[in-house]
Amino acid sequence: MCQKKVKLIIDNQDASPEEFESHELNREKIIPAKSKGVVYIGPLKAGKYPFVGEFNQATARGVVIAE
Amino acid sequence: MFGSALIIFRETLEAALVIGIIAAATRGVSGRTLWLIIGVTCGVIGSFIVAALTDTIADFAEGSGQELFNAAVLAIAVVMIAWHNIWMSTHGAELARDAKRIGSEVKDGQRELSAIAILVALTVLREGAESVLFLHGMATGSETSLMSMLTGGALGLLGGAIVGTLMFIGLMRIPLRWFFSVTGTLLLLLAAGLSSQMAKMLIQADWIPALVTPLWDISSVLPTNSVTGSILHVLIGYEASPSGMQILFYAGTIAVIVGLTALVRRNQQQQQQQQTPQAKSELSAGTS
Repeated sequence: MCQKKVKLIIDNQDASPEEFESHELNREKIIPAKSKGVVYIGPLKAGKYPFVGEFNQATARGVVIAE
Repeated sequence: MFGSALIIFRETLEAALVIGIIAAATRGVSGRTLWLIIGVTCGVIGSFIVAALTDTIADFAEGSGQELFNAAVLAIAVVMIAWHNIWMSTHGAELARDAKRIGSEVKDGQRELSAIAILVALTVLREGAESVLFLHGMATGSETSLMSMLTGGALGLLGGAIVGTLMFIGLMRIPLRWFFSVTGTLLLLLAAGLSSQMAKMLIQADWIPALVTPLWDISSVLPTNSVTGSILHVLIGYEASPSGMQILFYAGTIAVIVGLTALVRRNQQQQQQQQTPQAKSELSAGTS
């Protein structure tokens, strides 16, 4: 169990907007082109929390692992 | 093309279902079509404005501007639904009675309808702004041709509109006796769901604590992103793994709206009892 809150900084480096989305983390946020977005997560139970970039779901995938 | 159709469909679905419910819930109120069109039009225009201002909004409040903006939009939508349900609690009987007579409509619902138009506009705006951003991103960033992207977008929009229309047709088949109870309950749960989403936004911005995260997790039974899960998410705010704060907002919204509705109805009944016996018998004939 990760007791702490974590600040995620999502850096969208290309010229198109993206939506950071994770049902497991219960988060969604639009990140405009060439800008950074802040999303707070946690505290989380230990486990894997996948996330996607909704506008590019085929390639924009990742996972947050809480230990 | 398929990718953009699917995303636009998902964005449209929420607005379309809500508009379907609202169109049904306002049956018998004079001028509702015009107000609904005004709502949708303002929502579409607003979508483009919000999409254009995304960068500016995002920069507010140390990067949490978007969450606060969404939370404000959701809060206004919840208040509009509450207003509608409270108004209905005192006009529902009249509307149900009049709906049996063809062409008769309640005339004093204009203020109520302006609340409905705001609700529709905000619903369209929330989903529309994302669609505009997504399509704009595709148009500038990817190898997809403009034609295929627009076709996909139009197909997604059409799909959403069909589902919304089915919702409306389905609701209109409910017998009048139960009709306004059903639409009222649907809107109550919708408001609770929006309120829970508002809590989620404020948690994401770190403005309020999440309390227990998650309070429960039934994503193995019914994931939020499954087809049934997404529709339930739109309609009643279903989430497989909500935080404690979201459930507090959800239950609190139901309690406040139900409480206010009961209070307003009781006040009105007391007023009616003070009226002349003739007016009273007319009213009881109407509500029976």
